[in-house]
Amino acid sequence: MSHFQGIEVPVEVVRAAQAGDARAHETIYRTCRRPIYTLIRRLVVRNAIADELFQETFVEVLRNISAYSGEGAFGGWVRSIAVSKCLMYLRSPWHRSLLYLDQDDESTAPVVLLDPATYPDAQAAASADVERALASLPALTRSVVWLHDVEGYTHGEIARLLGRTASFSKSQLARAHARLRELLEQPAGSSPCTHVSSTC
Amino acid sequence: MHARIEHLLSLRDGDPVAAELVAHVRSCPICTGELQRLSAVRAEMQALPDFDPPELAWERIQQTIPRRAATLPPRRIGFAAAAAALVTIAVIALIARHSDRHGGEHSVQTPKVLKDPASSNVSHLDELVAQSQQLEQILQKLPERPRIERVSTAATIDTIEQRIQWLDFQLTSISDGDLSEEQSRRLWRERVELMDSLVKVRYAEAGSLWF
Repeated sequence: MSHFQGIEVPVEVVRAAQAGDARAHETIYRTCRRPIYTLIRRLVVRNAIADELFQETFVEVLRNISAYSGEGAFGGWVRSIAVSKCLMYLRSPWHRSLLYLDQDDESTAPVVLLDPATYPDAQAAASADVERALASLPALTRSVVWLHDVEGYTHGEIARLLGRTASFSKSQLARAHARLRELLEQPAGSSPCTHVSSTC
Repeated sequence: MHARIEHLLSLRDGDPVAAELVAHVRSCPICTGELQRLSAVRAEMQALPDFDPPELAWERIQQTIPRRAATLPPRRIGFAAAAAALVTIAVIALIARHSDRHGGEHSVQTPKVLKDPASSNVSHLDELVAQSQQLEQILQKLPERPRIERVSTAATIDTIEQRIQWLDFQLTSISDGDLSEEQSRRLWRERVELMDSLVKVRYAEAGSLWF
């Protein structure tokens, strides 16, 4: 399940951080850093960009910590900032201009279990390893499957984050699993093991 | 006809699905297997290990976060305490007098707490440190920043605070022996100038609320 569910930051630490206490800031950082960084790395594969988003996330968390009202889990609040940063990046013209995009949308054909031979991007199938297969997915598709299956977001929540519809999120999830199946069922070594998706 | 993957995902996630679909999946080993596979992939994703964040990330984040009242390096803090108290009283008196004079007016004047912080006359290191400390005290006396303000004002304050942080980083991370007196003086003079600018901008910002 989501790594954020285990995050427990005492109320007094949050209050101290809201009052500007530097030690409380560091405590929050130490508590949240791994789940935040993991989440960002799952959504944005490139290390350098993930590092930058990680830093931006924490700067925003600590700068705006007074905006945390205490309603809902603190970890969830932090996570929402990280997710927002990542999706903003993935949707940005900068990202689009550099990398080939996930062209999927609701107008595409219905999802079927694909024959790898008909799928031109088969070189993305690096190994039967889940992690590598996940990293091989297009950025948007990977984001949807991670947010839904691991972070526990609903399709409605994902749709709001992406500015799309719930059916779009569902179709992306189905597409992700179809692709994962392809990748995971390919025998190890059938494609170059050095390849990692360049989608983000 | 086997179940489509989106229907199996709905079934896996407990979303409502047609009764016929449920019946088919129960009776079809291929669809049952596919449903189990989808659950297994989800479980494997959830079990993936965490990534370790980059080293020194916290140091970089710390440098970026503006501190409301930037603290001085521990050295020499006690030196200016008495002077700071006097200046604080002077500022309060100045504000009170200003308030009395201008009543409901909206005009705001910047405080003239220090004659000229960038003056070349102020060349002694201890004096610069003391001036910086005085300005810190004044800054702390100003009210909290408004929730809504002009973007240009916020950007100016942010820029000044970041530059002060950078100076503080240099002053604290470089040991005394590594800085010549002239280098220290230059850094502290710049700090005083920036603090003075910050106080003035913050004062103007607060003035729009007070008067």
